Amino acid sequence: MTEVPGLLHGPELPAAGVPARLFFRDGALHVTRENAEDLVVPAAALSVSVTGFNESTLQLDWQRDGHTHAVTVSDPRAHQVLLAHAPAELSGHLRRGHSTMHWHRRKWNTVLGIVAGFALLVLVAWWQSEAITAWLAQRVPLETEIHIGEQALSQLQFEHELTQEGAAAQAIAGIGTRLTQGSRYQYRWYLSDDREVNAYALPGGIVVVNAGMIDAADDADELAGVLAHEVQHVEQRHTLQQMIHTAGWAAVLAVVLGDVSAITAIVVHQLGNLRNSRKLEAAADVEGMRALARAGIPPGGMVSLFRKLEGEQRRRGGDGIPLLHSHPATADRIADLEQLAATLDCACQALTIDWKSIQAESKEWQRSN
Amino acid sequence: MALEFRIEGSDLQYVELTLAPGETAVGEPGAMMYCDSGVSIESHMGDGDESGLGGRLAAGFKRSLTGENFFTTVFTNTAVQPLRVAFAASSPGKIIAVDLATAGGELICQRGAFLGGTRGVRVGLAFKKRLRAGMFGGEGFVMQRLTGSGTVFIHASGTLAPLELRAGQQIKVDTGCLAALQPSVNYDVQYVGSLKTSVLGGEGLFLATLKGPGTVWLQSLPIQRLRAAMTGVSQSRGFGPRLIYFIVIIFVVLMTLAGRT
Repeated sequence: MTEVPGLLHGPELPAAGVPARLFFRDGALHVTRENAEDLVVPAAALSVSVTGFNESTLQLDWQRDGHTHAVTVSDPRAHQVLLAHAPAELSGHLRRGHSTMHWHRRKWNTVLGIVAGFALLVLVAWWQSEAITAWLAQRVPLETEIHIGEQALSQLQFEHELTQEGAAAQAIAGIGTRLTQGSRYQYRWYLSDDREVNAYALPGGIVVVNAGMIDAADDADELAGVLAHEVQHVEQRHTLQQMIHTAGWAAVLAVVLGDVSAITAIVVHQLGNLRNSRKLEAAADVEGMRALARAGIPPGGMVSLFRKLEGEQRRRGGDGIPLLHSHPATADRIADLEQLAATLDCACQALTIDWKSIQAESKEWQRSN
Repeated sequence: MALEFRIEGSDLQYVELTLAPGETAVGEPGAMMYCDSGVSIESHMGDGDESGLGGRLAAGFKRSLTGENFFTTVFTNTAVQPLRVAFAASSPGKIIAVDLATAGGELICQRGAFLGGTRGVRVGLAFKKRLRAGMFGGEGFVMQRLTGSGTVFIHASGTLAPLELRAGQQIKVDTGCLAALQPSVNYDVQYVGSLKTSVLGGEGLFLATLKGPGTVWLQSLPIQRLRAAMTGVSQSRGFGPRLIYFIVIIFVVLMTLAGRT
């Protein structure tokens, strides 16, 4: 007969229980201990429960004289022995109790698995974040993109005077239309009275050129270079990618840190100064230059403008030119562009636009504002 | 040989141990109040009797997880006559002595409860596997598991008293008031019963349930509550204030999102 160690609990025994040995014989539970009579309890009178600090103890209890008596078994090997030798009417209950004990281990394995899986997911998302955001950005409906662009445009109109009238704005629109033949976007071209040397693209096909840019460019080819670059930000949905990128990381942070209010502040702040990553800028350069060649505009304008701006930046020092904050014109980048310009096969003709009169007209408009 | 000791004071207690020649006691660093000059004081990593650096580091790390110090201070009587060493409690409350041999060789305590004891007592980790008890039980997931055969002194704020539970006997306890329990006692939490009681009743959303057989030690005033009472910062209990806070957060987020599109 197989005995297992346990503790006996009863009304006149110490709370910690008394060491005892128990076994099943002839459909009854036998409990033996030192200096006391054996207890014999028929299996039908027993009830099975799971107890202990972490539900790792099997308890068999019965009623006698209005009091609860119990034996507890905490050794896992003893559980197996009890399961193997229990009478038929008890084994079902014992098996159920046993699986309850295992439930905790399975539960913690699941929790750890989910945490590890989530960490892996974040890692993969970080590693492949550009591919994921590009994929997601391609799935944003055109109407949504246009809607976001409109919102940003109305914000801009609060701060600056924008126009589609006049020779300068029409020159921008003229070159832009040549560059965007066959695009799915309905482009709109604006001239802003901002004197900073800058230009930017909003989602949905809105391109804004600052008056400062018109002043800085030496000829129409250079303006075309800037436009080709900005058009590529629209075509490749770079702004949307950046928004999704920021929002995605904010969501991950919110889940990990559990702090929603701080994250919201970060998102709002980031939306206020969206910047395209260097990689996206380089992509816009390359594709912009190809688009220039396709449209028959000399791609050298883009290179000469960047080179000039970089020289200017060096002379000024300090904060420098705003365009170069978001479009870092490093020497490497200019060298890459020159190399690409040399390989492009282009039946190009310089733009025949009277640039001096356009600059004069733009200055006149700035003064009138 | 049973350890000889006496506990002094009523609410701000210390325990004075009398060490026989050659006898050793362990205490938490900083708990020692006074000792006779023949007592040698040494710091050990871990519980004071592991061999090997790895074992000592592991034991020290486990100790620090359970709210104790990485190190143990070991006090040994190097004289030929009995000498005294005293450990003082770090907050208003009670010190109780538990003989681990009669308590079944094992005791589970709240974090930071262990004050000192005879050499050979180990402070281990008792990880609460039931999620709801770990989250809402008021003691967290990690508790102390004291094992060995000697006497241990545990300390908790407020009044600390044992309560014996018969097999199957169950009590409900305010969360945070559980100081120690024998491993045979089942520890779980239970929803307080109704939304009205949980918001207005002041007992919080959950109550701990303790089911016998075994002995539990309950404290009348958990240290967080004592701290709140002494600094005058009202501790928000019940779900009411937290619910409002939660609603405000959701509202702010929704407003931010609505304002942007």
